[in-house]
Amino acid sequence: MAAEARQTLLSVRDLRTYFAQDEGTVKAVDGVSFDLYPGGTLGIVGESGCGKSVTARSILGIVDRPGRIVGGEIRFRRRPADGAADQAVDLAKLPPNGPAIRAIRGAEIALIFQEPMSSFSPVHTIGSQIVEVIMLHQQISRGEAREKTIEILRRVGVSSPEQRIDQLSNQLSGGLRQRAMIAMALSCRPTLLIADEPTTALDVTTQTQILELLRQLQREDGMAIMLITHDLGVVAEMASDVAVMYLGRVVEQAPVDDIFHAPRHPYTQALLRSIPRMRSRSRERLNPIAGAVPHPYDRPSGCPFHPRCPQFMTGRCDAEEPTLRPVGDKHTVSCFLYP
Amino acid sequence: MAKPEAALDPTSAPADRPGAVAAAEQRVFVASQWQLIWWRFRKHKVAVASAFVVAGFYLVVLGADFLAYSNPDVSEAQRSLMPPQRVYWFDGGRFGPYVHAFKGARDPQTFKRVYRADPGEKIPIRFFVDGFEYRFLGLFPMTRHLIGVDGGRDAAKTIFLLGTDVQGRDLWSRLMYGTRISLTIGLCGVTMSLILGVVLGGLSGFYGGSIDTLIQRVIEILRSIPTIPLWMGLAAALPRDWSILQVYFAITVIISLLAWTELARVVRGRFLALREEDFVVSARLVGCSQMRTIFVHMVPSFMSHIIAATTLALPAMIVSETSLSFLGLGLRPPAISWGVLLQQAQNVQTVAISPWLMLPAVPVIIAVIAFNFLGDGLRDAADPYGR
Amino acid sequence: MLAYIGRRALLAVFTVWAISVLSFVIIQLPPGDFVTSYIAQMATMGSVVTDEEAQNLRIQYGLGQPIYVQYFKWMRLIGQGNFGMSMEWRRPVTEVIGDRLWMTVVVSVAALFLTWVLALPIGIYSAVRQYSAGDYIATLVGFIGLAVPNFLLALVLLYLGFTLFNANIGGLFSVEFQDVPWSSARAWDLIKHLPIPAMILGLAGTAQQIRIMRANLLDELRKPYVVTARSKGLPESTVVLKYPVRVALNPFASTIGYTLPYIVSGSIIVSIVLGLPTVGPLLLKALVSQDMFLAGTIVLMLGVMTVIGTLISDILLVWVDPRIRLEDT
Repeated sequence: MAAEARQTLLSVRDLRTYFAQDEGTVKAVDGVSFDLYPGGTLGIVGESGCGKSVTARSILGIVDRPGRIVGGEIRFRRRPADGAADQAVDLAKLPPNGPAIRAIRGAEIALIFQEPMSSFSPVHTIGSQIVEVIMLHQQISRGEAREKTIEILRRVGVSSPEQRIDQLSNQLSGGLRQRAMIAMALSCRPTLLIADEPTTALDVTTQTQILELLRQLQREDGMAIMLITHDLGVVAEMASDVAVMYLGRVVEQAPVDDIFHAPRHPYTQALLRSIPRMRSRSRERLNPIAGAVPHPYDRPSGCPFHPRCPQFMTGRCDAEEPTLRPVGDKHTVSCFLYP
Repeated sequence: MAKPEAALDPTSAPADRPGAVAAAEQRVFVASQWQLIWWRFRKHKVAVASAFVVAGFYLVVLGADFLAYSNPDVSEAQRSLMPPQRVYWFDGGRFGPYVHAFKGARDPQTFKRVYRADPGEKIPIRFFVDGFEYRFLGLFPMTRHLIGVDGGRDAAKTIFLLGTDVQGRDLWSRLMYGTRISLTIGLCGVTMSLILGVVLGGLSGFYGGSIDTLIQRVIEILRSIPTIPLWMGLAAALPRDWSILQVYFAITVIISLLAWTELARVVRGRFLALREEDFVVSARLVGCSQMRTIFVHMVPSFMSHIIAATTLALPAMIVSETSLSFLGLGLRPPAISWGVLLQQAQNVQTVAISPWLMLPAVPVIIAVIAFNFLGDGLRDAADPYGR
Repeated sequence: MLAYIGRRALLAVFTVWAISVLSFVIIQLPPGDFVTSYIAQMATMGSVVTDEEAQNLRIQYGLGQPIYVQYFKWMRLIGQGNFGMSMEWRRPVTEVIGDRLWMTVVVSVAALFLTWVLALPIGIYSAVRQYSAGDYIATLVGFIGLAVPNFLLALVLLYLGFTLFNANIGGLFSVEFQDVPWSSARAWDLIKHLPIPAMILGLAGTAQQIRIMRANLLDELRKPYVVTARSKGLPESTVVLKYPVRVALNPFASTIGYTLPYIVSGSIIVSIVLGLPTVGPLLLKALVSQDMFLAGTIVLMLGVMTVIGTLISDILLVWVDPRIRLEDT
């Protein structure tokens, strides 16, 4: 285990983030575990509401109130200061909004969102927002920060960055805004970039461009990417490893090829089956997953997927909760079919 | 079975009864618009309490004569500026409210009337007694009052729960009558504002274009003018010899002339928003006439907003009338309203000696608070995107 | 941006025109011929108005001619600085009003300033610490401010001040500074007396603005750019103050303009109750004694003052909201 801890960049174990509402507790993240390797891309896949975004926010400690991390650990390997040894820190244990976690936010772990439109402040220029994060984490002058901003804007493909830097976000197109967002995230050269549905709000052409940009930046900087999406096509293109989430749990994690060609968990299999195929016969029915995602207050007992599982075993699946077990090289599944 | 409030918020059903959630949601889906509004309104405890307070006020409006015990117009210099009498609730261990009679005397040094309670003379307070004659609802002659004393027809022997004013008239009774006028002026004014506001706001929002611009500018101009100097000027111009009723209506008109702008803005906003809605466009496409589109399809969508805005406009009306009458420019004696009653409390010297003259301020404040809460509650309940 | 200011200025001009018409209506409302009552007034003083003077006055004011002619003549006289004679004081109206208009300005501006200074931080606090004790207290006090009519509040405070502290909280000057020429000592005395009237006047507006700021800020706090700011590693105070507050400031600033007419309006009655040396008590007296030129002029001046104030606040709004600066429409 020590050897693995040295290898992974981010190691999440049994993370639990609950939201205490008047009507009850929503267990948005209920036992999530996965590993992320340096320079690799982990795709986190799942339907809406399965807790992907909350996981990302939990890592950075910016879960909206009334959500709180109530358990688990998030081991993150920090970038060593010159000459010093690697240091691993448990992000879940850091005081919320304290100086420790704020030093990591933006500088070592960066986040980009789904909605570039509202992710920038409407009354401040793009440039000022990027300069701000640079000056926050690096000891350089404003003039130098501005130079760096222009540089990073150019790197992500924003044309005429010297003019764009003084524009408001509503003066840029959707694609440009997303690039600016990426520039802001990358400005301090983080080791981990969390991308929460970065292309969902974009049209297909822009989507491809942005994904290509991310791949290129990753090659140049060697940073790891945690890509959160519900689009399996994007995952296939970008990810090296995939973690499938359902109702706040990771049900399967494996390298991307294994997920697509040898899925083990019934949910993963059902997901893949439901993708319409280009070469299928016309008038063939689609294969949706039976049932619907349960109400957050109506969580099923035992395995959360059991009401919809085609291989449901009475007495076992509705009584106990399965845990992640290894079934192959770097491949783990949480299902009683693989005890 | 899940309660309707729970039904509105499907997440409130306990997890071990999955069926309950679905069934409760069903009730929500088939409920009418007014039912939904009612359910949401009920959740606002404060608004519901305010509704009761408002209802209480209007009951007083109806039964002012019944609740008063002293003829509000009869003055009696001997009883000028009496302080409120203390009510003793238990007479020798049993429930029997009474007061001590007041003996008035002129203080030889200050020449002011001073009153002392005479413990020897007890005046018991009776309920449902005979008192001065009045006409209930303006139609039925009656003499029964809620509170009074034995031999109540004799104006000399009576109680003074809230003291008297400069002319010796009982404040409690005058307060009851004042409530009647103050609250009904509010209603009249609001009705007028409503008509003006709905018509002009509707024209503005529905037709848009130059009509809209024109009306918008007019509204903006009116909003930028300080209202009280204008009201004062117009009210002061009313001829002195007009009857109470004429003055009453004139004041109502004057106040509404500037107050319709708020309602017009709400109506216009609603119309503008609704115009673009798909269901309105489809109504037109299906062939509904403009009249039908407006009244059958659009108006029900914002009825609730109008009701809420109207309720919120009432307190402003009441305060306006109270202010004007307080200054002596609005309703004048012998009319009785809260503002007229407060006129006696205009300067600090008078009030320092007889602080009970400020009591009419209390119903004003309570009414304003109650209407505001009620209006807020209605507005929140009516808003489909709220919560 | 210039187009925006231009539009507001044009609207201001129209508003001033509307006010002048309304003031003229007020002047004309009471029955009777102004010149006739002027002659009668002069007679009681023992001075005689010659026929020639009377005739000149009639021409000057256009009496006997259609109403719009009278209006124009009145406007022309105003253009020359002649606002008419006060019947009651038997002096030119401008002399009677004197300092009082400036006092009204001072009190109104003080109330407006107080509104800004109080409403902004309290509104921010209420939104950020929603449902905390401070939030409830602020809501409650704000509610009282909205519910209790300002002149009643003035009355109650006067009473309390008198009976509990034996102090007269009315008036804007201590006795020794009442009619003396201006000096820094007098100015300081004025400032010492301002807080109570300013608070009474501004309370309702403050409560209103707190609600607006709180509601808008709550909306903004939920938006993604706040999460972005936090995810960059900014300290919480910067996250809140630099971003959502800045955005929520716009609707806040744009509504401040409309509290000014309300404050000026309220100052009339409050100054009557508190006995302040502003135009309020003067207006009431003038109306009661049908001294119409005085009354009408006061209404006109109040209106114009308000419009100018609103225009200034509109221009300040441009400074606050960069989006207007860049708009073409």
